[in-house]
Amino acid sequence: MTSDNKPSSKVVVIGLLFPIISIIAIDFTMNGKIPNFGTEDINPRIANSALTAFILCSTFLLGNMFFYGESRKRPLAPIFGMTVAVFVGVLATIFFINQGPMLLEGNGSIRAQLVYNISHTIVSIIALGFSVIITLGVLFSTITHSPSKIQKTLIALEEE
Amino acid sequence: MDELIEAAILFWLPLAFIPFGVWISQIKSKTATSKLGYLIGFVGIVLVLLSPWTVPQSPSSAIGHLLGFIAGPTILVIFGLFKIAYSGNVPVGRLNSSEKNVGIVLFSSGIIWLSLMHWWTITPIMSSGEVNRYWLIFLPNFLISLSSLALAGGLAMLTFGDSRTNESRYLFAMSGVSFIFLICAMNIDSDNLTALEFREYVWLSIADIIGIVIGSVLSIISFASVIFVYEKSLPKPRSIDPPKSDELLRVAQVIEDNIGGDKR
Repeated sequence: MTSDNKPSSKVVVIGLLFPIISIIAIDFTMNGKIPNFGTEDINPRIANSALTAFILCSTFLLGNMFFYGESRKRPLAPIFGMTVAVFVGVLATIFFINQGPMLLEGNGSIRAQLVYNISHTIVSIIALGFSVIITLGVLFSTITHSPSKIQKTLIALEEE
Repeated sequence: MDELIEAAILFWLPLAFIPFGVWISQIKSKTATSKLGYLIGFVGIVLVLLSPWTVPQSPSSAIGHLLGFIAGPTILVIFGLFKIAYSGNVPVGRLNSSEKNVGIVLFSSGIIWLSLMHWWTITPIMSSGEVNRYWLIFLPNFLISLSSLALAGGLAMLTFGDSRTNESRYLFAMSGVSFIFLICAMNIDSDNLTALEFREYVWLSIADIIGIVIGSVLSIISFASVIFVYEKSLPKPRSIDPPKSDELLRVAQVIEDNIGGDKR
């Protein structure tokens, strides 16, 4: 806490992680391990999810690099961006493959896994987007229904 | 027709139409192009929603099945939030204050509908009799992210806002409700899903979120490093000389001529 009794900005980051850590802790304490389910199921999901998110996010950022290159008169910026992204992507893939035969989850072929990864990420992004809409909607609603600061000041002045 | 090509034409192409249509619709300089964008997006959405019937053999059509199931509660929630927000103290487009109650009813109905899709018999079930596996990805992801984002949002209101304690309570309540829902679903069987199965999907969702964060951060670092190197290599902008005293006097004169009020 800071001196004026306000939480510090680090608390906001902890707030993002707190429910996830709590779910893991509570579930493990209440129910223990899930039978026939462990790191061999979780690690491939992390690897596939990380690589798919990397590709989708890089595609989006590459589009922005074209605008950046144009505005800063740096026409080669998108190519350099792409090169760095490909390099990091290859390194990440090598890292994940070296952890074991993990990139194929329950799917029989690489193509099926590829399609599943994209579908999976789209659904995850829809879920994330919907929760962002609800959070911002509730936030906006509470703000618009609370008395404005001008009103509060006027009431305080009238009372004086 | 080959199953793969059929899925590509009747599902993946229409799915790609949606962001493409949105992109085209943002070209405001030409009204016809903008309208064409909305039309492309709309056709894409309709074809994706129809995919369980047009390409039932494709596993990807389960996304269309899921979107069809969640469309109703999603529209209710968004429309409800819109009515609540705009019936309050907004400078433009303000709705009648009675719309707030309508909004609360719509929002609550949407949330209850979504909850019943887990607990009751209206769970998205495929024609094969299995629960739609994308629903099992959507629900835990939605609950975990809602719980985290609402808690972080409430804390951000306290940290960065001024006298926003009352408003942050609603976000904490939202976070708490989704968290309790998640814990209950992990311990109590629903009509179509056992608690054990749901637990597996929650753990996979956590893995998914961790993966998405790692992938996105790696990508941002990659492109940020390129921008950093470019920005560092740019020559410093040429500085101009500070204003001379006669220039300052001239500026002061112009300001005095243009700003009224009593002189001290």
